[in-house]
Amino acid sequence: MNFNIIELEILLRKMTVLFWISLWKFVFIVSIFIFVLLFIYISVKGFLELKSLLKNEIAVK
Amino acid sequence: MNSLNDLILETNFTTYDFFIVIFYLAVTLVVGIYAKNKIKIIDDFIVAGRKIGTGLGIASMAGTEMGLITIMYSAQKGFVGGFAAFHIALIAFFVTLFVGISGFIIYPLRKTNVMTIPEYYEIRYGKNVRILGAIILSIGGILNMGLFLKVGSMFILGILGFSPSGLMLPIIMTTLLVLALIYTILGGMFSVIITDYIQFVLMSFVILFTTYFSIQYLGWQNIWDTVYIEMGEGGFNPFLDGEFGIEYFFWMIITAGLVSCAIWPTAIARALAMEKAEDVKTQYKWSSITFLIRFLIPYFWGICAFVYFNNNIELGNLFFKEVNGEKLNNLYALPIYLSKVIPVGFIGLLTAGMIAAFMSTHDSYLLCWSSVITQDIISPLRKKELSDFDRIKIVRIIIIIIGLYVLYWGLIYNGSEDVWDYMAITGAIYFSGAISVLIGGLYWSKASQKGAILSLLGGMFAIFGLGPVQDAFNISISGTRIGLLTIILSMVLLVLGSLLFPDGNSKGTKNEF
Repeated sequence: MNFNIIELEILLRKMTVLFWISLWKFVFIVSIFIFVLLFIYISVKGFLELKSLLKNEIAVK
Repeated sequence: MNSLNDLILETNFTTYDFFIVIFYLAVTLVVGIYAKNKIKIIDDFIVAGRKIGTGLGIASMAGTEMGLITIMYSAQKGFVGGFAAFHIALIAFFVTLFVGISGFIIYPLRKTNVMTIPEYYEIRYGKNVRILGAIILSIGGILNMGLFLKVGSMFILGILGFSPSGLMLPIIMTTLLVLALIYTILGGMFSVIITDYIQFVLMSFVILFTTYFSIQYLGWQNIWDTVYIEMGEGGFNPFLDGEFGIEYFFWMIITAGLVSCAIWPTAIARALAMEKAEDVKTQYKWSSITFLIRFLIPYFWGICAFVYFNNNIELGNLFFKEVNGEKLNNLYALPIYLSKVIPVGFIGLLTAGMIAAFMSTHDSYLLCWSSVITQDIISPLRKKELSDFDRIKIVRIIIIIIGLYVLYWGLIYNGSEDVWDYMAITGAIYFSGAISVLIGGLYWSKASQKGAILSLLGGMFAIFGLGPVQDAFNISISGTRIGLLTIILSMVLLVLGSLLFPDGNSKGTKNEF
C-alpha cells in the first residue's frame, strides 16, 4: 500500500476544519431554534402572568 | 482619514429611528411609573422575587443578562476570534446546566437562607471575613464595570454615525451617565416586572431580526467562506494557539461558566431570592439556554461585522490597516456594521432596545455595589446602627461617586486587552478568592477564618493581569495565565491557612452532596 504522508496530513487538517464548521453550524441552528421556542413560550406565559399580576392576583408558580 | 470619517457618517439611522428611540424610552417611563403605583407586590419582587411565576422570572433574567456591554464585548470576541469564539457560549451552557442539575454551590448556599455572599461569609467565617470579602468584592466589581459606560457610548456613537475622533464620545458618555444616575436614584422603578417583560420581548425580537438581516445581507455561505479564507483553521478551532487555546479554554470554564452563573453577585442574587432551594435548580436548568444565547448571537454579529468589513475594502481599512500608526478600535465594528446593514425603522428599535439594556445593567450594578459598600462595609464598621433613611442616603451618595468614577475610568483607561478579557481579569480580583472561600465553606468543614482571609487576599494578585499594571511593573504574562495562577494560589492559601490556623470551634457546613 502506497500512501503519501503529506496528503494524509492535508486530509486530516481538512477533516478537522470540516468537523468544527459542521459543529458550529449545528450549534448555531439548534440554538436559534430553541431560542425561538423559548421566546414564544416566555412571551405568552409572561403575558398571562403579567395580566393576573395587574389584577393583583399574585402569580405563584 | 477624512474620507474614512465620511464613510462612518453614512448610517441608516434616520429621524424616524430617533423618534422610535424617544417613543420607546417615554413608553418605558410611563409604564414604569404606572407599574409602581399599580402593583402592590413590587417590593416583594425587587427584594426577593418570591411571588413571580417562571415566565416573568425567566423574562426578567434574560432581559438583564442581555445587556449592551455583553453584546459589545461578545461581538468583539466574534470579530477577532471568528466561530472559534462559539466555544465560550457552549461552555456557559454546559456549566450552567451542570450547576442546575447538581445544585453545585447554589443549592447549599440557598439553604443557608442568606441574601448576599458577604452575609454568608459572616455566618460561616465571622464578621472580619464579611468586611474583607465585601471590600474585595467592591474593588473587583467597580473596576469590572469601569468600561461599561465607555463601551455603551461607543455603540451609540457608532450607530448614530458620529466620528470616533471628536468630542462626541465624552458628550455621549456624560449624557448616558446622567440618564443612568437619574434612573437608578429615582428608586430603580424601571427594573419592575412590566418593563423587564417589555425589554425581553423587544430584545428577543431585535436578536431575531438582526440575525436575519445579517444573513440576508451577507449570505450564509459567504460568512463561513470569508472566515475560512481570512482566519483559516484558527477561525473555527478553539484549541489552536492564537486568540484562544487550551489555557483559555480552561479559563473560560471558570469565568464564562462557573463564575458567570454561580459566583458573580448579580447572578447569585437570583438563586438566593428563589422561594425554595429546589426551585433554584429548575431556574438554572432553564437559564442555561439564555446563557448560551447571550454569548452566541453577539459572537455571530461580530463575525458578520468581520465579514462585512473584509468584503468592503474601503471600510475594511478602518480596522485592518494602520493609518498614522493607529487602527480604529474594533469595538466600533459592530455598531458601524449595524448602522449600514439594518434597515430604517428596525435600527431605531435596535437602538431603543440597546439603550434600555444599557440602563437596566447600570441600574442593577450601581445598586448592587453601592448596597454592598453600605450594608457589608459601612454598616458593620459603625458602632451605632444606621437608620433606613441614612442607609438610603449613603447608597445614593455612593451611586453618584461610582458613576463619576466610571466616567473618569472610561476616559483614562488605555488597556490593550479585549473588553471581555478586561472584565474576566478585574472580576478575578473578587472571584479567585470567592471560589475557594465559597466552595471551602460549603463543602469542607475544616475551612477556617484565617484560611479564608488569606485566600481572599490572594485573589488580589489577579490585578497583575491588567495591561497598564503589567506595564508599570515591567512584566509580560498573559491575563489568562495570571487568572488561572491566582485561582490556584487562592485555593492553596485556603487549604494551608485552614490547616495551619484552624478555628477553635469549627462552624463548618456539612457536605451537601
